[in-house]
Amino acid sequence: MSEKIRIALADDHPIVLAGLRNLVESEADLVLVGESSSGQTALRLIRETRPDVAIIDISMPEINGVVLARRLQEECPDVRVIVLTLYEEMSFLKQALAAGATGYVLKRSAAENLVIAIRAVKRGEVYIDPSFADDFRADTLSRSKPGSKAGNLLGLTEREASVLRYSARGLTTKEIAGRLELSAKTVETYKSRAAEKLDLNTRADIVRFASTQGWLDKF
Amino acid sequence: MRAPQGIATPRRTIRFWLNCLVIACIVPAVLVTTLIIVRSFNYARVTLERDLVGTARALSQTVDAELNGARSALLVMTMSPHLASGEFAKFYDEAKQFVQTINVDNVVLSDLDGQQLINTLEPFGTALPLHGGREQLQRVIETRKPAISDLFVGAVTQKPIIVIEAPVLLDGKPRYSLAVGIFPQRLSEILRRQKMPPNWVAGIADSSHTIVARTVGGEEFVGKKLSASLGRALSTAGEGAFEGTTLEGIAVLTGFSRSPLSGWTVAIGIPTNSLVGLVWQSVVGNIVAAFVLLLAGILLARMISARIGGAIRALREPALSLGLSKPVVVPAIEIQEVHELGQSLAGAQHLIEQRTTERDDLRRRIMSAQEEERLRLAHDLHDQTGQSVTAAMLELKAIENTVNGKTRDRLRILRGQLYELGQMLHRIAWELRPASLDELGLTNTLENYVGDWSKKQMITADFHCADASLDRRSNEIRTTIYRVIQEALTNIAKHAKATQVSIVVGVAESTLHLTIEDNGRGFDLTRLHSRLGLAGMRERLLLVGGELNIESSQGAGTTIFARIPLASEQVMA
Repeated sequence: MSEKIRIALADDHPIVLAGLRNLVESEADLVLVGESSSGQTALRLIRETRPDVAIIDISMPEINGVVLARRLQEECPDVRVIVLTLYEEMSFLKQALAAGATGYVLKRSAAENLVIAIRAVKRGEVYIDPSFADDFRADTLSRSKPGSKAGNLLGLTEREASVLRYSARGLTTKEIAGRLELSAKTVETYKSRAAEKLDLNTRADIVRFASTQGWLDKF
Repeated sequence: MRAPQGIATPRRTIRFWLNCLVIACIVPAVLVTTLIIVRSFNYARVTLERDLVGTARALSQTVDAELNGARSALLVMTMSPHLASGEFAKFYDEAKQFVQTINVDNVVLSDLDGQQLINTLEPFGTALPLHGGREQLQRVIETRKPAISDLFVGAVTQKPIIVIEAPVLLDGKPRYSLAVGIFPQRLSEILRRQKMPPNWVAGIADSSHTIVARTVGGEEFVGKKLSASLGRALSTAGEGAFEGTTLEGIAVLTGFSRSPLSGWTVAIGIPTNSLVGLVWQSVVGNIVAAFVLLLAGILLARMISARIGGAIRALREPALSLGLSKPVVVPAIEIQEVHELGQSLAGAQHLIEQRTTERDDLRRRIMSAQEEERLRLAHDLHDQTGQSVTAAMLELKAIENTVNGKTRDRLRILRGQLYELGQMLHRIAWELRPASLDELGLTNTLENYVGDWSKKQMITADFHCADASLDRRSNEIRTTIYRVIQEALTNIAKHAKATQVSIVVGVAESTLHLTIEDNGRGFDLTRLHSRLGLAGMRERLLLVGGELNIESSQGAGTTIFARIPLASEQVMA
């Protein structure tokens, strides 16, 4: 059996901290080197003890978990960081990963998965709570979606471009019709024709396209 | 609010009522003056009748005096000594002088058989005809009293003449008859002296109602009988007035008086048309004046009503502005009451503005209190309770490790239930107010929220934020945007039957634009507004000075345009 994995805990809820302590101590290959209940003390503790894995909460007084993860990445890059949190939103996960955490575990599934996560990150893997699995894939997919594939204005008439430009700025069809002295029906036609030419399916696509054209900066 | 219903009250203009006032003022005045004119006319007529009768009486007295004068003179002449002595030549001279001094036209001496002996109209000694009025001669001789004849044709003159005759008594016996003749012209002279208006008719008739003199057409009518109507009147009264017709057929008001002495009658007639004409002139004048007054009054009413109406209409615009919450500009008004009304309008606007401000302020505070409450609740549920659940699960796990078999399985199941509880708590807290809204900013949260919604509703949703400063907008604006999107997505999920939703946030011309577009079935904009929770969105936007526009039609999707002005808004550092 190899060396025990050294763990540091940071959570501002005493009862959660106590639970975690029990969890870590009940595993033979894990050893607790220290615990703290604020971001500031956690930073000091980890700096001093240099654990293999630091388990930190996001919402903590003084320094929150995300900031703490970033600081740790800078100051102690060899310490693996697992964010243990109640936050289930994707954005928190992304923030945590961006800050340098290699593990993200929901408190809800800590009892089940935290130990697995500790071992995984120790091995140098990235562990993300299973409840994110589907989202993460979907999000990655949507990110790779070809949003600005129609990058040129070729084939767009003056009027169509104008309609598209105003539409991207958030003007109603009626308002565009008023500005261009066209009927609302005609504006609709121009808009759908332009969108078709540029393969823009939604309003958001149109706005993204407009933004690549620099149309939105001229205010 | 419902429009007032019920019986339609007829509406009249101010002009109408002013015209009524004018008519109400002028018509009675005209009626009263007309009445006064008619009454005064009637009074004048009564006076006129009395005056007429009086004049007629005076004239008949004048005629009487004339005749009496002649009779007295005649009686004196009968006493002439020349008659007693039979010196007719001398009497002739005396009579000639007599004719010149008193108002008679001739003197005739006849014997008892009616043979004229002397007639001053002929030279003395001329052969003379018989007496023209033998019946009167007889009567005078029999009664031995003087008498006045009616008009008859004189024997010498062959003209109508009136004669006053008296017997000449010698030794107590009648020997001759002496008469003085008066031509009717002499009586006409009396009438002429009265200088009556030319259209009046005055006449004198003898006791047999034969006309003796007349102012109009004297020659023609002398000797004729009086008009039938006057004849009838004379048969009932000695004097009076009545309306009749002259011999020429002219309608006249006639006053007459018969002398009790001679039985002669004087009558004066005034053409009634001249009288009525006078009255009509006054009445017509009055009516014309009334019309002129009415016309002037109505014109005045028109002018006044135009002024009042104009002043009142000038308040229409401010009143409409009041309804539309636009600034009320009350123009200068020269009518006090309307001016006061205008001031009231301005005052009302001030009050409404004040109330609206107060109400908006209150709503804003309620809304922010609500947000705070949600935040607190979400925090409590999520952080506090969530932590406890976590601790409990960890504890369970620790116990699990110390036991085996069935107990362990039961503990595992219990832990599973706690896991679900935690999930539920998270869901509730997230729906109340996502923690990320405050921790990670709006853009992140919206991306998250839209993604989550899309997954749950199985509707493709696309969020694009073109406002880099979105996360630094005021708390109020951020909350508003989040809630509007939340509401809109809830609507789309419930009603739209869309397959694609696109949400765009951007800034243009100092305005934050939030556009939410779906490709659903859309709806008729004229209906269903309140059902779709649009009122709530609008309300929220209104409180941050924003507005909501919707474009939609049946089967063509819906686009919601929300706008929030950023001019006064400071981007948070």
